Amino acid sequence: MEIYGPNDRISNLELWILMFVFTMGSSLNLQIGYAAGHDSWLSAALGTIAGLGINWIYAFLCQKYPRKSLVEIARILFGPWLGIGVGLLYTWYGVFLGAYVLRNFTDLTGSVLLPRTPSIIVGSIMICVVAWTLFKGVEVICRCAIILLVLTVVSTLLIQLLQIPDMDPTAVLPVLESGWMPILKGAGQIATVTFGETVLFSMLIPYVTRPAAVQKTVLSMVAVVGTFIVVQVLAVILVLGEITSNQLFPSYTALTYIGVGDFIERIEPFGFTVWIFNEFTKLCVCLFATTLAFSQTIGSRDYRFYIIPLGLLILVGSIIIHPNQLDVVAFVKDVWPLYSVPFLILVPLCMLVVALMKRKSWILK
Amino acid sequence: MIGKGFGRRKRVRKVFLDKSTAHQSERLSSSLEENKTKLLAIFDSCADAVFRPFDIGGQRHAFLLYIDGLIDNAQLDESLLKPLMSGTASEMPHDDSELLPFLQNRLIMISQVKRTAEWDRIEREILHGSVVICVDNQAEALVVGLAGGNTRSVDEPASESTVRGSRDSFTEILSTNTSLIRRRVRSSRLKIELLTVGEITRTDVAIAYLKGITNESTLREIKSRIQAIEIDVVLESGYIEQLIEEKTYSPFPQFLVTERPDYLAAALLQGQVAIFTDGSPFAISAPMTFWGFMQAGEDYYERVLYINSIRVIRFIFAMIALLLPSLYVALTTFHQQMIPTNLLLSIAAAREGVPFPALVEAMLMEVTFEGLREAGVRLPKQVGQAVSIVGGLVVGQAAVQAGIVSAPMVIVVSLTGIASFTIPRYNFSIAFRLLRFPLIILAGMFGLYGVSIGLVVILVHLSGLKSFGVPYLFPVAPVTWQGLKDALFRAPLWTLYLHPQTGGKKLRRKGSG
Repeated sequence: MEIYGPNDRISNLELWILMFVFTMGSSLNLQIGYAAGHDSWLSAALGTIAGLGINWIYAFLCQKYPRKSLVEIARILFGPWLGIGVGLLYTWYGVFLGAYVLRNFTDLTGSVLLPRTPSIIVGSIMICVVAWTLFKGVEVICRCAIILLVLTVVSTLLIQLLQIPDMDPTAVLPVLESGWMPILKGAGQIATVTFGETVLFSMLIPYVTRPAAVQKTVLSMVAVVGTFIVVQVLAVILVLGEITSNQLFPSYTALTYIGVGDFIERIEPFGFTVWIFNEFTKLCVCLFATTLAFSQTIGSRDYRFYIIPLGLLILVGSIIIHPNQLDVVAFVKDVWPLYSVPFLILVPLCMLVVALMKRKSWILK
Repeated sequence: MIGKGFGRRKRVRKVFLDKSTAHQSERLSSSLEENKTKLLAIFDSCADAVFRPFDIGGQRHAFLLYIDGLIDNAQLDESLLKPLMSGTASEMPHDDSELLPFLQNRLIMISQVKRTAEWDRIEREILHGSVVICVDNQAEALVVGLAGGNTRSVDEPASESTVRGSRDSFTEILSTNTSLIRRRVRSSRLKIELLTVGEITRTDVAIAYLKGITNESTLREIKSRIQAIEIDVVLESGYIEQLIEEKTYSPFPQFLVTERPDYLAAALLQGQVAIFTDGSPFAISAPMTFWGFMQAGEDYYERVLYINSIRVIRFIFAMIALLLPSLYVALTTFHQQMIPTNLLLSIAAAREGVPFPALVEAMLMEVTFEGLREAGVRLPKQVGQAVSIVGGLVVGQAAVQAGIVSAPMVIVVSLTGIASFTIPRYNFSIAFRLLRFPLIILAGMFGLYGVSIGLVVILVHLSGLKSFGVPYLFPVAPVTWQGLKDALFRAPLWTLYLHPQTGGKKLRRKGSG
């Protein structure tokens, strides 16, 4: 007796919400998109537009091949052997991204909440909870995301509101002080990190009830989150001014400026708490997409077998990838945008080209 | 005992069911003497079974048997024995086959009369408050329904009081309870089906639902689960609830438990299926959702602005009941910087002499509070005052003065205790009380991070939980716009065209809509 359908179908709205929470989660961490000082809001705007393009590629593919994930589409387009290659590529990307998300998370938790707790404890607790959630299936993740959406939106708006007294509108002037290059660099970071990670959702899209509307779902999400991020970056710049680019966690630093009536002050641990929920969603999606990609690559029927091994891989990866936090920051800022290009643009674009050449096959369907 | 998935059979080991009940499939004989021996053997050593031989119309030998106290004695004498014994001999048919119909149609002035020849049926009817009459030379017995005796009358609800709303409550008698519902829902769509559960207690269980509104598959599922129950004893609706609920090890209840007919009628009108158990003044109904448990029936009686503010208060206090002690522990142990300076100073001053860390202090006080509460529930009224004096004075004031606990901790614990009473459904508030303790421990270990992880675990559990196929967080997660009109907030009554439906068909709440 299943009134609400089988356990592995999510509505487009739920996908939208999950993607929203996922994408908003990366906005609080690290100094992404702040390369251009007080012009960074332009980076955010440009990055969002580029993000629309990146997300369009896989959304288009998924819409043309309904109920097929990116890995399965690759197998259809490239044949079994290259398909396995693509599958492994995305498994690797998922593990790597998951490890980075977890690393950022444990780093920030260590420096903000629990300075004396070893980061492996923090990380392993998180991975345990994430793995347990994944065993319950995609629907459960989406339902959590709906509740977390409310939390994310309310806290984001509340934080912007509370920051208003500290804002200085002249901080954005003069516009384009240092030229276009840093802005483009920041835009590249936004496009590849914030909006590029969503390529993992191409593994989840097959669960959607209305595959025909996927493109709309994905692109509207990018547009809405883009607006949120532009507002957020603008708020951070108005609060912090020129020192924005020197902060490790700019939006977190801006949070510490909040002080209303000598009572609501130092609320950053609460802002951080909301971020924990977002990171939880991010890790869920990362691990879920990774296990799906892996199980589809090797042709296994049940993804649940691979949750624990791949989860442990992410946990270990988060510890060994970099010796210290500054190394992580430098990598994410300067190397990651280039490093992720093959996963975000190159491979999907190749698939798109092949798909267009094989056009007849999906027109007939 | 615990299976997985739908349609499982929960077995409860049979403890003392006598398997040598061979008479059960047997039929009556035509010899009065044989029947008498048999019946007396069945009710051997049952001091409350009354056996009464008599003659019908002065010619036919007969006897009757009933259980004292289960039937209406005055009616027995007046409407049954009197006409039978004084019946004239001339009218009596001589043919044996016409005798029982004659008695049924002419002499017995009682509405419920049946004929049966099966011993197990006879036994069951006697135990349900019927009088059984056996007549000489007849292989069938007359079963006369005379159920009565002393029962509690309809009273004010003891555990669910309300400012506005009806004042009656369910009693221990099944027929009274179903009639209370019928009085509110005067529609033939309201169906009430009877089942019997419990091989020894043979408890009547009634399933009530509104045809056309209740989801058919929910109904089927509930019925089949009740039919699958194999248990000897059912003494309370809680037995049924525990045997058919989805997740045994979830702290969250999956059934509405109420003794108020108006709440139950509202639940039925929302497409729920209600289950009455004979002998229990508490009816249960499912499927329930998280938001349903946070609503009181009064929410629809009072005006919309007031109710929405009350709902906000309720949610705030539910959060306090769940989180306040753990947040206090987390903030004082790990994140002192979050506390405003003046408050921090006064907390520090109060905690100065306390020998325990905040975690131990919180656990100590919370356990004490729960202990006091448990003591209070079961205490005779006469000693209740003593406990409140000891609880309030000794635990509150003396412990603080002695420096064992700090005053802020007492405030936190008492606020938490009060807050847990704002949750409208008692069985739902238990979940909050239970979950408080792991959260305190997590807060003591990992501060706010631990609390957040605890919340995530609770959220994931709630997201995965279902009550008869309806997601527990419905209609918020998964979202339906129509359902959102009555989840956290309630829209004005005239906008709620459709019932906040948990899976069934929609029913117009407003005539002109």
